[in-house]
Amino acid sequence: MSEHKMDELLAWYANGTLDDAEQRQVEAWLDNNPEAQLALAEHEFIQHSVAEVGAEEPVFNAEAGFGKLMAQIETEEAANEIDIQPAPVSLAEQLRNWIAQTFAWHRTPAFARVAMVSQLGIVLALGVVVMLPNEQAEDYQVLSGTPPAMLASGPQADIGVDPKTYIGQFQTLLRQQDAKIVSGPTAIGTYRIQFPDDAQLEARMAALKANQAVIYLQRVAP
Amino acid sequence: MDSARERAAEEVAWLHRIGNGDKAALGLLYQRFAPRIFRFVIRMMKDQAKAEELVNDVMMEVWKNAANFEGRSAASTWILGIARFRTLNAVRGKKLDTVELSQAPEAVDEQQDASQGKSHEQLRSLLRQTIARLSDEHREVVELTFFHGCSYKEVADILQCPENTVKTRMYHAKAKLKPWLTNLGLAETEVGGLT
Repeated sequence: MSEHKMDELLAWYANGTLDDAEQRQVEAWLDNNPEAQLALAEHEFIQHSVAEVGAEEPVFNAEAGFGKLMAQIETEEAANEIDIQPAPVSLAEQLRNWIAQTFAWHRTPAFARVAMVSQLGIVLALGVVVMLPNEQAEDYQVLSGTPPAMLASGPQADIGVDPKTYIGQFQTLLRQQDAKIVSGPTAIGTYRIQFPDDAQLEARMAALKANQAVIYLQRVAP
Repeated sequence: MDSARERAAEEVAWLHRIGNGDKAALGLLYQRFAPRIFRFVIRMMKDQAKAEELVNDVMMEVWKNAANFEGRSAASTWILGIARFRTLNAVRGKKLDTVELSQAPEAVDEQQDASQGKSHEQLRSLLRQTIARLSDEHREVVELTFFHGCSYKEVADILQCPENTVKTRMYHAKAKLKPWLTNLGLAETEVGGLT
């Protein structure tokens, strides 16, 4: 190692922090080297001067300083305790917090939030529609269905018409006799109809039978 | 050396205890380090009240971050590193109370014959005043080495600079002090007789 390098290490040789190998190198360099020994003496003089706290220097009062530090720590701890006491939080607030923490909602751009809320709304609406019970019109029955449970009062009859008869003609025929369909058609194509509860039942039945379109008419036992 | 190792191990143990909220350990660490930190700070900023405040700022940071101390350096290196960082922040934007030795007007008179009629104690006081006039870069290397007993590796850690930079700064600091040391009466005949 060069003399310059040795000179650079002298300060730490003087304070005793060189490792063993460096220390041995410096000691070898110092041996029989008056200039190096003088340089070491200068470092030692600097060391003693710096390590000494002079009368002109202010003295630190560790006891008072530590008292202030503890007071500061206790003040901060008390403030933290107040901060961490949980405030009563409403259910909506909890839900908002959960959403914000789970989905990082606050970092989502506004347009994306609108889109997401819209999509959620549509999904919910569809879900409601799907989950709602099917409504059935009380006045109708599926073609092969059984008669509705709720029937109006009045004499009834099963009627069959020529398959070539238009529906419009059939409806006109029934209206003329104040009759109305309560169920049907059945598997064989008959309808159950109902007449008003009055004294003209036989006449109405006869009028229907007389029509060429009617191929079957049978009163249903009350 | 063993005593130094024991002290270092003791300081690390204190830090672990402090990390677990042990205020008694903080008290022990404070007793050992606060005066050293004060000394380090006061020699950089020359403001006693501010220096005392900074000491507690440093120790508060130690209290809060002791749990994060990983032991990759000595406790003293870590604490003095915090102290230096805090001090530099405190004096940032303000000129430190230092001038280069070559620009110190009062140095001229003292260089005539500083040792004449003075005791060793007075000579050391004079040297401290001279060191106080070094640039902060040079002075902090001298302080950390000779007052805080740091190795050049530890000084490099604290100052966040290469080890060679530390050695170079010490070399230049010594070169600036050399005329003073010569005039303070250090001569070959006195080697070994001053301390």
